[in-house]
Amino acid sequence: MFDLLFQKFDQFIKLTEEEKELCKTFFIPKKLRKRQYLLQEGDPNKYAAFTEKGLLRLYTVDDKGTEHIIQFAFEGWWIGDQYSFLTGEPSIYNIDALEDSELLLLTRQAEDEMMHKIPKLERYFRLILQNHLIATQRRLTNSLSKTAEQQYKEMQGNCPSFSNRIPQHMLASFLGITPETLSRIRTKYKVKETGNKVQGTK
Amino acid sequence: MVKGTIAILGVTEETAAMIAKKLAAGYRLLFFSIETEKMKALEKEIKKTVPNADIESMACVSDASWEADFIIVDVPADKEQEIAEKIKMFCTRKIVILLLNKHKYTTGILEKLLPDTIFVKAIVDGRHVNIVSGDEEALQVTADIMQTAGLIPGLEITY
Repeated sequence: MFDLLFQKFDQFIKLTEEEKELCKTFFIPKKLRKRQYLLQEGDPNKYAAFTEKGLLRLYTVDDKGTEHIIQFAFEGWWIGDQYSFLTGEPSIYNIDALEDSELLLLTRQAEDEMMHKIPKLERYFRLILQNHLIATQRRLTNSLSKTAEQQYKEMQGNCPSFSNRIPQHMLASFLGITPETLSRIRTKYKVKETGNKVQGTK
Repeated sequence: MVKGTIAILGVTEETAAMIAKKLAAGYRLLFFSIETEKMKALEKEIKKTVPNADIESMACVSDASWEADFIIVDVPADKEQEIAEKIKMFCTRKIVILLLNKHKYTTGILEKLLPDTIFVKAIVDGRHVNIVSGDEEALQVTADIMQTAGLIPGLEITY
């Protein structure tokens, strides 16, 4: 249940076996079925969620009922409304499961207590927040300055599993384009790839 | 608002069944009992009177606890150890409510084997329930659940 979490910790810090056992006592194990909500707009976001298994999305719904997907969380990723988590204010986001998922949930109080008792974890959380900030800045820059095709190509390069596991209309929402535009881009991209393979170049 | 999920372990016991019938309107319920046929009959009965009820009779007590946000336990005292061993990994930091009454006692082993849970005793006497816990938030959450179940809660904090 904690294998992937500890693998991720190991990338940045070294916990003793005792510390790992103590760490387990701070997390709430939660199984979510496909399409179940972890968070609904208007509720306070009580948990930071680590994805041991499965796939979740974080999104808003506008006045016209259109969904805007801000983030996905695959295995090994964290997800949550950071502002609501820190302040207790109602969230503007929804989080639901795109696949049956196994999560480890951390309340704010448990997070504080855990970092007090295992200070090494401060480094881990600082580093993942830094990485998250970098990724968010990049996404904003891409959104403002790159074409949809460029964004799609970059996404395919960085996260090829997106296309395999995420429905096309949700990918389109994530990229801020219509499903029809995405379909055209994917067809064009496939033709280019096939063309390159035939010519023996890539 | 996200509908909370409550696992009711030993749902075919009298008190648990009574509470389950009232909670069906407000919560997603996961039933578990070794009396499988009786459990499924209870599910069917509740779904007739509460058409939108989100209830599932589970084959695995561990899975029920894993999916649940709150866990209600109503099992004979001699089954507490068995239940505790099966759900231990899946109820860390969750509220576990042990239903008791004047005829039903606890060996204390459930609380002992689940040290990382937020443990609450709910002692039911007719329409009243005395809720005992060392955690103030758990007392309030349990009181809300019991009120939804049509019971009148009295709270007792232990230090």
